[in-house]
Amino acid sequence: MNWGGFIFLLKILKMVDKNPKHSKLRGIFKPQTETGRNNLRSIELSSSNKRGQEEMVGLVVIVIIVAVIFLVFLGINISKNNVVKTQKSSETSHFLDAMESFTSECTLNGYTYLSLSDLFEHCNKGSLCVGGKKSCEVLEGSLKALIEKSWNFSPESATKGYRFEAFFESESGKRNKLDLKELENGNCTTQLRGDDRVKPVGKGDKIVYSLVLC
Amino acid sequence: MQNSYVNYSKLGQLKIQQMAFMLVAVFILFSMVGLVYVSITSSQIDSETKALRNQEAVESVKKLSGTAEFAFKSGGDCSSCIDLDKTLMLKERSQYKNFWNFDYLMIEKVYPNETERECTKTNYPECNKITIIDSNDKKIVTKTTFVTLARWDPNLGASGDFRYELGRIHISAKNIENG
Repeated sequence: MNWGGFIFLLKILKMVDKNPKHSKLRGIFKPQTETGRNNLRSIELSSSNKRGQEEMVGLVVIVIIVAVIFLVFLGINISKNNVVKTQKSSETSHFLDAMESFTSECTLNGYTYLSLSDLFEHCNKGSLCVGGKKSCEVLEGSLKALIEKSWNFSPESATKGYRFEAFFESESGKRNKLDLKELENGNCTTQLRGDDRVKPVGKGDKIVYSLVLC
Repeated sequence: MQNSYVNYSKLGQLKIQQMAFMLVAVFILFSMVGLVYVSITSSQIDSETKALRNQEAVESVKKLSGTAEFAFKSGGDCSSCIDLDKTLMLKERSQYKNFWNFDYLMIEKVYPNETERECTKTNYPECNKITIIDSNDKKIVTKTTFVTLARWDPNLGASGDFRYELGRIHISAKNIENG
């Protein structure tokens, strides 16, 4: 039974008066005479228009319910997609691999120059390069130059900005950000793609660094 | 009696018709919803396919840096680095023009890069490009990936050392373009 049919049944029940002499539908359930049967037919035919309208209302209600369910489903789906996720990108992955070996301008003994990968470790220790420059400053300068020479960042280009972060993570899971500033360009909020690398240092400790492009 | 029988039959037909219309309407509604869902899903699959093909092509470009012709084996632990000195020598050899079946193959130094010009024996390493294959076809589409370039620097350290720089490898070939 649909919604319209249900409303119609309620109305019929209302029409039945407790006093059988005053009821509009007296004898409706068991019409004994020809007149009674004719009366019943006339009531049914006069109410068929109303019933049609009510069933249409029922159909509309069903359609509205289905539409609301669909909208809720669509809303949930869209809100899921809107959660900002960073997609793994082979481009940034290859960049991180390639930059690890890059020879920096920092040397601790005057003749062996550190790679960027080693420089992360010395930056975390707070080492000073020959000449007195902080290893973190050299690391920051090299990273900034490498990233900004590799991509053309502008609002019009495909790559609008970047964010580079590096953390020292102890065995217990405690995280400390490395002393690297200004490794960010543009406002990265959507279409994030990137990758990260983990460099083990000491017993269970590690340095985690990531590059995100947008 | 006959009249009322006809009326009853009409009412029944009307109800059947009404039900049929309702079923058709509900069916059309669900079909439309289904169509919208399928079109959204298929467009997502399309873009994912393109991204995967591109990634596969880039990975195949990256593989080239590990081949004997380019791989840096002289020192250190950089097996995926490109030996820039070896690449310059490779450029001079005409046998390698048709060796890989590429339309375009170029190694570019990204950083540090002070001068933008093609490398020759006379200006090396004060240059940034080594073009090994160039078919001069202007319509080619290249696939690019980052690599580490290694070269001997006599001025590095006390008595010279290998210097590692950031570079890119550009390749164009029909089988790579098709992913």
